[in-house]
Amino acid sequence: MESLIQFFGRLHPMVLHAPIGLLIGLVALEAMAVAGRRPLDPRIRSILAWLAAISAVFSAGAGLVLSLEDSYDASAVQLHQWLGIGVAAGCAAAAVMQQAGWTGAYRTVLVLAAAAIVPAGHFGAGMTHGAGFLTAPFARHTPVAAPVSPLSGEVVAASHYAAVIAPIFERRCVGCHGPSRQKGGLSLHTPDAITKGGKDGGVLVAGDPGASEMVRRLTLPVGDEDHMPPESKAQPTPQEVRAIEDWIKAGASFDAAGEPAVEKGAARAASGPASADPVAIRAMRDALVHVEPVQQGSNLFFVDFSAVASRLSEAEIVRFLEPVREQVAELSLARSKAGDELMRLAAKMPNLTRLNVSGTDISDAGVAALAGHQRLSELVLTLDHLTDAAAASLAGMPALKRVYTWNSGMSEESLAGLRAHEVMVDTGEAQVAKPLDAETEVTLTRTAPAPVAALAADALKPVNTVCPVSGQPVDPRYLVVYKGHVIGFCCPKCPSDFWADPDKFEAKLH
Amino acid sequence: MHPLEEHYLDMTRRRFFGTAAKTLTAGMGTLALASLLGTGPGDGGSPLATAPGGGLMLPRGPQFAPKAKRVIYMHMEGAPSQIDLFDHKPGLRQRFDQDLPDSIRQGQRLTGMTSDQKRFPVAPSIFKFTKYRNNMDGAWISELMPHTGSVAHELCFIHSMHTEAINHEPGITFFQTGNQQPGRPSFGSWVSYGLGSANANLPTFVVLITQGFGNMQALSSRFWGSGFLPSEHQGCRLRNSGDPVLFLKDPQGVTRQDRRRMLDLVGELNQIEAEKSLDPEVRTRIAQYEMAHRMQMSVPELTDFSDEDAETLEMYGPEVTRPGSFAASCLLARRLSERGVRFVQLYMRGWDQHNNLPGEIRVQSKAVDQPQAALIKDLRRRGLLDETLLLWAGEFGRTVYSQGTLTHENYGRDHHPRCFTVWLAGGGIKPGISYGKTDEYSYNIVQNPVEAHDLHATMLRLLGMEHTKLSYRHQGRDFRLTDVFGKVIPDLMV
Repeated sequence: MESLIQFFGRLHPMVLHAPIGLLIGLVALEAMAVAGRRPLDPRIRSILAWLAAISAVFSAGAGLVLSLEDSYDASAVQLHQWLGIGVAAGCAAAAVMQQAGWTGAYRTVLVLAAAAIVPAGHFGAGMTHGAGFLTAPFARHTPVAAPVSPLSGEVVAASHYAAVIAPIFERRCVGCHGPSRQKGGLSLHTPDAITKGGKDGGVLVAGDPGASEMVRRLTLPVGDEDHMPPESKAQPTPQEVRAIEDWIKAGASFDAAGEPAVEKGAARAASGPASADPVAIRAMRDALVHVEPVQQGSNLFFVDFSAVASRLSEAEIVRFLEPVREQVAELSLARSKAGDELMRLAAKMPNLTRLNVSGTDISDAGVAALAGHQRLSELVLTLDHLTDAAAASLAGMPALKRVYTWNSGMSEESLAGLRAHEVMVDTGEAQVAKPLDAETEVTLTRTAPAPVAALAADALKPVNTVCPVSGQPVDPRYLVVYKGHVIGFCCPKCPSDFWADPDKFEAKLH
Repeated sequence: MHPLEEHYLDMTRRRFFGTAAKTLTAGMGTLALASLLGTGPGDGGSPLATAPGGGLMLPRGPQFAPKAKRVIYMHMEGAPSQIDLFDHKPGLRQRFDQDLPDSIRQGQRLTGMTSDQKRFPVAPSIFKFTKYRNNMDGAWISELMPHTGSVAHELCFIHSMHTEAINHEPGITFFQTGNQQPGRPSFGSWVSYGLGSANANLPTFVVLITQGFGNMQALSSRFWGSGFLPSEHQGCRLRNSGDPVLFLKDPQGVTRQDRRRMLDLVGELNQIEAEKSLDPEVRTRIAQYEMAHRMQMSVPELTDFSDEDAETLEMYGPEVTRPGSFAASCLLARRLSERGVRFVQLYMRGWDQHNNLPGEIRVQSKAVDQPQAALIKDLRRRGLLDETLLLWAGEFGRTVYSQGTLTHENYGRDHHPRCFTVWLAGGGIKPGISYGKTDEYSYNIVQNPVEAHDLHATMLRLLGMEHTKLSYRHQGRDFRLTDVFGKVIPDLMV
């Protein structure tokens, strides 16, 4: 029963079009009648007026029932409700009056009712489409924040709620979850409302997009009934969804631009560092430093200074790398002006696994600075000016697995100890694949036997042309091999007769 | 029609959606107008904005953590004879001048070049093979390539490559683009499209061509062309003699500042056109101008070998100082890789030895053997080999039977697509193995056939991209390098 009532209420948005159309049509007809100084045909007038009245009352009733659903903000509903009731009452009164023959009064009330449609309809639309719907095209919006693609490495920092996340909510959600309407009791237009959640509870879990109801609904298939936004509404782009996920993962912070969520240790997702400062990334890219995410969606980067190796001073390189030192996983400073200061900075890069400082000005002190690094597994020190002291420092790197030392000034002996610790040391002595066997001469002969030929095409030709059992012509599909000869039969039954007494039939074959 | 009207009508709906959709590539879908008309080159969000290094800013980068960051592909144009180089068939020595059995040939169609031969006598290799230690039971390599043998522990041989193309043009087109008919982007273009450049001062895809000896087939520039991809992804060929890139140097009297001011003005004009027409080629043009300007500084530095020490130069062999030699190309390839160029393609012409094979292949092999081994050693000791993927391949193999007269010292070989040998090294490839087997005539494959699509799929995987996901929408469907084929071969990868 309750669902039937609810269904009745939901007819309102559909049914209300009937009285609107009828009312306006009737007003137009009355206007033409007045202009032509001829009264409207009373039957037409009567039918239309009563139809308008009935549908208007029905629509108002449905509207009242619909307003009982708790997803509508009471204040927004009031204006629309009273105007709508007014329209319905006006229609009903007009119908009665024209029936009674009070034409003047009837026309007046009709026009008033029709006029009331406009504001009633406007407020009604504001409830479904949002209060600023009509004027939105003229409003000077701040440019909509462009979708941020984590693929380009410019991952949203946790503190960009206002710049990126709020506009997404504004565009995609606030129409139904905002000041004018709160479907499901949920508002998404203020931080407090977002945190409070809706009638089913909170919609996000800071730091864990997987457990967040909002993300669950966003990532459901579009046709799923729980999917948000509803299928008929404009859908967020994949980049927007990802931006929301990243924001939640980074702690769902509403703070103005500040420290990255790295400081909020508890909120940080367990895997990987926080996103890098996009400003720092942009600065590096503008200077033609290559910054590449280790893989799509990762906050770790491979940074390569090849393009600008000869131009940037060490101080400039330090300035570029300092803000992103948490996110550097692989770093190539080959042939650059890197020195010990950069080595000290590298020592403070917790996620650094591969470092190439080939052909730079680093010294033993620089290598020593890396001692104790917990993640560095591959180090390229070729063409550097080091001494055996550096080799000793290498032994103090617990995670080191490979080191390239060609032309680095470190002697073979000093590195021997490393090999004992299962570190692969490539000193540049070319490892040569030793010959195990060699042909000493080539003699060409023709003595090998021809390879076994595939069965010749006529190998399965029967030796007979008529079936030994029936005397009919042989069907080549039915063959048996007997004493090395292929014997053909006329049908599938004869072979069994043949096998019953092969000698008897064999005689027939010759 | 009034010219002004025509001009405004130029921006038709079809062109708007057509070019805009092309710009944004498959997967972006429709975009709101606001984000299409970006606020300018500095706006990182607009998909039409140019990245600081030039080029369209599309989602680029490896999809998952790559083993290799770049590729060096040495294409032996003309099809080197696998029987004389890598596919050791000692049993053939006792079959000299025997007819090729039908059971082996299995009725394969003859090419136009040998169809008038009465006989197809088996021509064993007259070269001695040596077995070099690797990570399996040794790699047999002929005396033509002793240096390559010395790095056999780094190489992964695939003996069971096969193709359908019978002649060079379609064969090379197939190997480069995944299809025998021309029009598709080349392997290097796909890598450029998928990964982008790692060094904004140099082209992402560089091509070096070495003239060989003897019979040489034509090379078309569409082998390194970008097909339907934006033309910023095409290969940039560096010339062998004179200026590596024509017209790169400013003419006398024009300073670099003058050049910069000219480029700024031209850039502004192009920018207006780009915003009006949304044609990605205009953006490409802007990017190329900027790239050329940067290359004015970077290319001379790249091609100047004076900062190489004598020992390195010696490792590549005496030809390294001759511009255009394969040795010089190999050294250049190493320098390009060092500087982050994603895809370096070397073409060595002249392997099409239909006649006089022993003599010609000796000269060819001598030209490539030492340099290619040196390249591997050089990359290895600089710590670059594990992130650089090398491929050495021809477009097909050569026949076991002799084309033309067969003598004890001389023979020729015709094209043979049914089996041939390629090798890979570095970049996540399992070192020191041999994959796939051919029969004792090196005619048919008996184990683990591999076709170019599978090779491409595997190499793309090593570069951190799934070959089915690297696609581009063109003519209504999503094209990819591997077309609708290709399976990754895990046995080749570490």
